[in-house]
Amino acid sequence: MILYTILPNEAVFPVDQSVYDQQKIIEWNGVQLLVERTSLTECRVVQVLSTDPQDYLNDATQPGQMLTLSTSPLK
Amino acid sequence: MNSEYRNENPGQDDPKKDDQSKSTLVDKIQQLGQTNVPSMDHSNIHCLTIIGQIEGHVQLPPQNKTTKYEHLIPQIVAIEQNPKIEGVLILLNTVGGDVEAGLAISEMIASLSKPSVSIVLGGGHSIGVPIAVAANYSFVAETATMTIHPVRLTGLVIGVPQTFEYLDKMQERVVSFVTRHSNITEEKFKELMFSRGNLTRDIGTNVVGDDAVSYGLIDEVGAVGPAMKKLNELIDEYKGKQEGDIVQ
Repeated sequence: MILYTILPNEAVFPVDQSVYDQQKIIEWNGVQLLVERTSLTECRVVQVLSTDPQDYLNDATQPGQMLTLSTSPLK
Repeated sequence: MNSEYRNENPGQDDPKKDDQSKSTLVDKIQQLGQTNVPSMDHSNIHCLTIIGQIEGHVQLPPQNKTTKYEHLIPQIVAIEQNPKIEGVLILLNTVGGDVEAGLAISEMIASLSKPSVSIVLGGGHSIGVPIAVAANYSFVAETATMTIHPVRLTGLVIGVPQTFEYLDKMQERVVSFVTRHSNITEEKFKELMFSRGNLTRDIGTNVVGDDAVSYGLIDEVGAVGPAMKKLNELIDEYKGKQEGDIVQ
């Protein structure tokens, strides 16, 4: 099927809400991180949201690293 | 005693880090292909990366790479307030996005009292143009491009003539912002914006690195090296001015 429309793709094929819930922004040692939930207590770092170049050199928050959450802010 | 312990085992004082440290080495080899990332002291220059789409009122699905203005604006406020931060480097590789969100970011950058330098890497299209020129000094990589085109709207429109006028005003705001913050003339910018034959079946111009400089849109061709040099120069100048103020 070819669909000709001026509407943006998101308007034609809305994404399920659960896709949005997968990713969350958490604060980890004062640095904001975009994380992807993998299990109830673990999440994977997707992106570091910081303006400090130093924060990007932190081993523990390299994208792809797993973080264990003592209290899960992902719920 | 405490500090010694921390120095020897960085991260050990944090229970969250504990579990990871065992597998960190393996993970790092898998992810980065190397065993350690370099470290340095706290930087006096902070870096704003504006990548992907500039997200406005509509949240895009997570597979889209977006820059959210509600994230950037508090960061810009933090940069302005933190006395340890002396300058900001803005990296752009954006396809454009929401006009009002983009203008909000541009205005915030333009009104920063601290020196700012922007670099357009890859692309600084549409609303990326005002963000690039908002900095005190702008650079464009030789291969980077900037698409200049009129403001557009997709979706359902209620009240066509009113919406048209509204968009016309919005476009005027973009044009006036760019002409105020760069050396390009309004005539030239509008000429680029409405020229035909440059983009396939569309109006506008795709401006490459050198051309952007020759039109006066961007100050210089270059990337990180020259940009850092310029930023350090601006920081010294700014500091000198501040010290002068104190003497008076």
